[in-house]
Amino acid sequence: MKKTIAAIILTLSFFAFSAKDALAWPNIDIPMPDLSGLNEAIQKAAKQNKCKAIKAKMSGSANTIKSACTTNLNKFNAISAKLDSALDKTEDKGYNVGKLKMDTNAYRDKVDDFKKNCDQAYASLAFTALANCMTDTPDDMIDTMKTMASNFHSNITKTKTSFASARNQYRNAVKVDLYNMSQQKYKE
Amino acid sequence: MAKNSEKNTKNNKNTNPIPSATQSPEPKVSQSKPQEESHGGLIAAIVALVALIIIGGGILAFVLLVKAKNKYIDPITKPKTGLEEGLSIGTTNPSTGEASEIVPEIPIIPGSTAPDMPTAPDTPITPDIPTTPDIPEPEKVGSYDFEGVIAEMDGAMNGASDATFNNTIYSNDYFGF
Repeated sequence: MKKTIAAIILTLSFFAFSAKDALAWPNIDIPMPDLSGLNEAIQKAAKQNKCKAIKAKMSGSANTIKSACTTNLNKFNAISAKLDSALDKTEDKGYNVGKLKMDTNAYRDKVDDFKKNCDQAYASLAFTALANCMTDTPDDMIDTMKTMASNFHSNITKTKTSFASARNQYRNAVKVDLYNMSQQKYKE
Repeated sequence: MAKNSEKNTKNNKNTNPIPSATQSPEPKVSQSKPQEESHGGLIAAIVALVALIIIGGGILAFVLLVKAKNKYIDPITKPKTGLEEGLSIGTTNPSTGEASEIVPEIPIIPGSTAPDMPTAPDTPITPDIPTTPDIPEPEKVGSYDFEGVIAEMDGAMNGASDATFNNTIYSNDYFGF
């Protein structure tokens, strides 16, 4: 019983003191440190971090593009090699290979075009070409990377178009020529 | 006087004087002269005949020779027909007419045919059925596995993908601008 009475008195006295301080707060003069330099440093660090994040994203995208270009070029080149072999063998066997030769050359031109666009897309995001984010002007670096990203956007569009062009050349011309040759029975 | 003597001699000649007994007659001489003349004529006639025969024979021989020469045609200078021209290829030089390389004749063995020569059909061809010339069948192309090659290339092309080249992925938000 005595302990309970003592706890109640202690709680009441705490609230009474806190209310007094709360009412007197606007008149309390507390000395604050100068944070203007700290804010600039924080902002600069924040922009550098953003720059590095963009840089990492662009670098990753460049590697992704490069890998995809390499994979697709290997597929395209494998088809080119098979076409070379098919041209040699069918010509020896007396097939008329004039159209297939022409369309195969056109296919190779389109594959070369795809490779060129791939290289340009990769170069626009290449890590070595990216700005250094650890400078005093990260805003400028971010602007530079924004321009690079815009160029990449344009180049990746060309890459996609040239990929479709090479694929269509195979499906709509080369493959049709091979099918037509398979119907040939006599030497011309 | 002289004129008178001349007249006398003339008269004597005209009066056919009788030969005197002292004159020697020459009967033999006067008789043998016509015989010699007849022999000479005969000989002359024979000589003339022989000469005529010789000359005539010569003329006849000349005429025959000329005729024979006109009939004879030199086989080298003679214009040849197409068949003769074909047969003579390889045996004579057409420009000089000289004999060139001799082409050996291929002996024909009875019952056999020359190499690469088409053999005559065994079955007789009925003349009533009009035969059409045999058109050589065009040579066939060799076999090639087009389906297999197309399948391989299709597999390679299907393995290629442009999903990575989707420009909608690489937006400003994607990069964090």
